[in-house]
Amino acid sequence: MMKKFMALLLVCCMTLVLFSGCTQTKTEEKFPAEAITLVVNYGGGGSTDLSARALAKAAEASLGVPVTIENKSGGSGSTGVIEVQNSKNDGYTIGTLTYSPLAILPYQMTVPYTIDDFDFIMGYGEYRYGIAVKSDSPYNTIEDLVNAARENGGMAFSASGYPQPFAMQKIAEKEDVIFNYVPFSSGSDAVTAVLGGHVEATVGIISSVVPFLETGELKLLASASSKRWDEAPDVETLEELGYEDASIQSYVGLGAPAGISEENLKILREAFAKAFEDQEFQDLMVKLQLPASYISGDEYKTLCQEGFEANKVLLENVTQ
Amino acid sequence: MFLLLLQGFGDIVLNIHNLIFLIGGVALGLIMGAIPGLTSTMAIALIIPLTFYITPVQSLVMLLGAYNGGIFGGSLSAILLATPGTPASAATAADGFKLALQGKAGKAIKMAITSSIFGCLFSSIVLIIIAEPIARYALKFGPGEYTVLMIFSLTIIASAAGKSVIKGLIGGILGLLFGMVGLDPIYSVPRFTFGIPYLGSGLSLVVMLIGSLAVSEIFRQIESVSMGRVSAHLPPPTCREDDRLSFSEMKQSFKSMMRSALIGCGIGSLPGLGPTLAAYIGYDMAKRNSKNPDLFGEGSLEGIAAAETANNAVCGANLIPLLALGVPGDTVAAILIGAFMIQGLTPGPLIFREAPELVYSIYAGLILSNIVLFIIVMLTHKGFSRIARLETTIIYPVVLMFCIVGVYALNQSIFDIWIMMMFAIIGYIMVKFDFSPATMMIGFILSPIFELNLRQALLISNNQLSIFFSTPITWVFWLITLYSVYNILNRKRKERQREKQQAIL
Repeated sequence: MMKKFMALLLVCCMTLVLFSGCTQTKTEEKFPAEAITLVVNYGGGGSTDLSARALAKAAEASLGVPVTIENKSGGSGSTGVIEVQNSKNDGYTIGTLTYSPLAILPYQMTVPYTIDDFDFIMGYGEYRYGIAVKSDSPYNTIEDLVNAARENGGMAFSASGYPQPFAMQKIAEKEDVIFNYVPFSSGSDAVTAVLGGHVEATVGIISSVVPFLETGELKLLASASSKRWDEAPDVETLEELGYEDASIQSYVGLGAPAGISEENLKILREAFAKAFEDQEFQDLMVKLQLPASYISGDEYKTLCQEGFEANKVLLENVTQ
Repeated sequence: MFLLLLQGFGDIVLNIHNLIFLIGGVALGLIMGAIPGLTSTMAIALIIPLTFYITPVQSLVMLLGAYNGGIFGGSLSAILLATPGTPASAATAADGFKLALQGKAGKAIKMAITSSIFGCLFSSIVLIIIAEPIARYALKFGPGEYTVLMIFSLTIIASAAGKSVIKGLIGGILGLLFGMVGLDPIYSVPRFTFGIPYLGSGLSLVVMLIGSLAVSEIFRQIESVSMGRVSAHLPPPTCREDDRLSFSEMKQSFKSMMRSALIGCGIGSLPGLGPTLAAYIGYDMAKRNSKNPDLFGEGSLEGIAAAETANNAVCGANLIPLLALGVPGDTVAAILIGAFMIQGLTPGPLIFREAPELVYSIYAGLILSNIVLFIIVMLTHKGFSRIARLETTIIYPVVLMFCIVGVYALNQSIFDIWIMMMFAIIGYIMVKFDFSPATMMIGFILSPIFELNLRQALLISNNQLSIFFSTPITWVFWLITLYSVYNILNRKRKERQREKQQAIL
């Protein structure tokens, strides 16, 4: 008797366990109904990570659900991008999609994705670059650098990976001189190489150059972005100096795996556009020296695609 | 300056909140460091999101506490389990575990904590007094200088090799080769990646260390258990002396500790080298200059002291390039930059002007974290030792689980676990055939730094080798390298003579 009872109990329990597997299927529910995961394609503590965290926090208010950050670093930023590509396109997984793994990395290694594998939510920050030399250097203009390179048969400059070197390469192309790109592993390493006098010039990211402009150890010769630097408004951009197309565009933005439903994409786009306006987020971007700049998802996608096409020519020259 | 420092101390000690965050940071770092696979880098990455909500002083003391605690925590598991918790404590494992097997775990831990604290305090003082001039001097180290420094560092493989230099060289070259997996540092061409995107960023030092040192040790334990040798993992101390560190033992190691402190400061002020290399160089130098070099690797207190002083000296010295130039010395320092930036501060030449009180709070926090670390370890080390006296069949399955979870947690990647297993097999085979996995580790650490700087130097000089002889610094390192090689050959010659004499007798 007891045995039978126990067996029955067991069957009941097992049936319950089985049923518990059948969660309510999402039908016509309002999106989002549960937490959204935001995959960050770089490690914790970097400017991409910190900006995404602030954005996620601000977006929680209008989405009404938590937005949790998951760091998937590695593979030069591609690991996180692959993670987004492979996740379900239900809108519950989105990620940071930065310019370099989308538009540059495919020329350097085999990646399983293309730009079309993603629907873009927005671009929210523009990395800004400039060409700088040591303040006691004899060179005061880009023209001086070009002349020196012509006389000495070349000049070495430091930078921390593409797209930065494009700026110097385009100048070199136009002026028919040689600038030797010496890669360093981070922006601050590239700057210290100039400070130590090991290379003549650097194409640096704004955050690693500005402190040394203020101490007077570096001088900025040109802004390598489409705009002048707020920190050095008198220094002209490369385009103003007559080097068209030499400015570097590099963005950080958000996206989801391709094929996400129109309504959900719209909800995400609106929520994050609103989060972009959040004062705390804007303040953090100033602190991170990552200029906040909003472009729509479609604009960002076009920017990546155009960059991808343009980089083909440049990078094929390099690796030969 | 002294007043500011005093104010920094007061700010932490008198404010209970700051003190709690400091203690919490140290404890978290210690635990994460002690568990193989979890590292101080991870402890710090865990704390970062929290720093949005607490004050600058609180977040920085907590981070520094975790940093310092993490580097030491690795030594606890290195001594008690022969499985270093962090790469920085790999050099401690051999001697520490041999001592633990003799029942002297307490003694080894006390030596390790004393020398760790000595190293960190020494470098903190250096940081406080002469950070600026050292950072300026470190700027003189360009790719040419780094390359020659790496050539010198390769010579330490010889003493990590044990008996056969040839086997050491094979291990070292294997390490150099593994270090080349991933994108080539100059043209970003993939090498040895077999089309697998995960390999694009190269093999991770932690994964390799956990595999070749920790999991391979577990394999050996499985082997001995399967042969029917189930026993308590560690014997209890045979006498009270075994748990104590006598003054004379400290005195014997003092010279090595001083030397290692200087080495650690030097390595720490040069960005990109890191505590693991410092520990190996410190250990190597101590072995060469010791009265009992044969004891090294067999349970030498001096060896532990040398390695531990050097790796913790990096802890303070790493902040020199970080604060003075904004250049992070290692991965942990790189994450610290993020913590500064959340507070609206850019580490670099401006920080001394913009926020001097914060800088001095950092100094005070660093020094206090040592005291907190010392107290925590003294209160808890008996407990740790007692756990290590459980049976191996209980301990090692748990350790293996932590290894797997920890390695997965690094990048949330199953692939890393397979890499770990591969290195576990490599490490196991190496030990079976009398190769030293440490030589592979050293090669692996040096490989990327060596290659990057060599190629940068050649790009700058247009392939002229003269760049490697262009400055006094390069000459100094060439001389040290020559002396080091001479030293190795000389020792080998003496060993051979001794063997011959013994053969005659």
